[in-house]
Amino acid sequence: MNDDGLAARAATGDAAAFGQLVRRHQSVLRGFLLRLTRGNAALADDLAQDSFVEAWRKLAQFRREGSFRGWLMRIAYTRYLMEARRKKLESLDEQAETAERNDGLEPGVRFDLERCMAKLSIGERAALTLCYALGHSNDEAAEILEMPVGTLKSHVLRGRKKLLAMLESE
Amino acid sequence: MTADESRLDRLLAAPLASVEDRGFSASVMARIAGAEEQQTWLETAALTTAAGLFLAFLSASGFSEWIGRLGYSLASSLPLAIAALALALTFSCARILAE
Repeated sequence: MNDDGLAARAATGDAAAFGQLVRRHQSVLRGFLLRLTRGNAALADDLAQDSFVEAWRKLAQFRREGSFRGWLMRIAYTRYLMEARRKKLESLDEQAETAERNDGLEPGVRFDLERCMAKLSIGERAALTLCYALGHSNDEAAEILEMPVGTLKSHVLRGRKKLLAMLESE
Repeated sequence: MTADESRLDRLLAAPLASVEDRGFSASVMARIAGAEEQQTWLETAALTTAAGLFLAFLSASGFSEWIGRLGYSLASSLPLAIAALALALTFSCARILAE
């Protein structure tokens, strides 16, 4: 069954259907949050859990105009922003810990990208991750991040430019 | 496009590292079940409290006596009896004509 069908069943109180959605999207959501939190796996998992619980409570508000994953990402991004404002980003850095990765890339290459990514702003990290790694269109990514498409494109361009400068200097 | 730009685009476009579940989904579902149970308990408690307060208000304000008096005065009212009879006759005639 596709996401929309499962979400419709879950909205009627079917917890098993929602469980399927959780299992289906947990990896990508936690991966997204892991990048936003600059590798803080514990914080990323807490936020992911909170996001799923909030999604369960707000399922009736999911209008199926966009994808379920996009809607979930929006909840997670908003939660991350609230957490970042509450705790201040510096304290998030202090808690950062190395996360387990198994994507098959050379450890050095992945390390460099993540290290450079961590130096970007929240908006740049989120925009680049959504548009490149998760393959969302500019419109979808802008909707998830609740910003105009022009702002999203600026984040992507600026972030990419900064990353390029960092990679060239290595 | 330079070689560095191509390399960067390749790196950026690589899928995010997959994160193994390791009980994460189960803990989410357990939290949801706990929240639902708490919600049901809270709703029941709120309804019970509201019903208790309402009953206490009724007995304190003499509401039942007032309803009793109103019922008696309605039952002994001649204009109301005529209106009810007219209504019943109208419905009966309408049914007979329809048949």
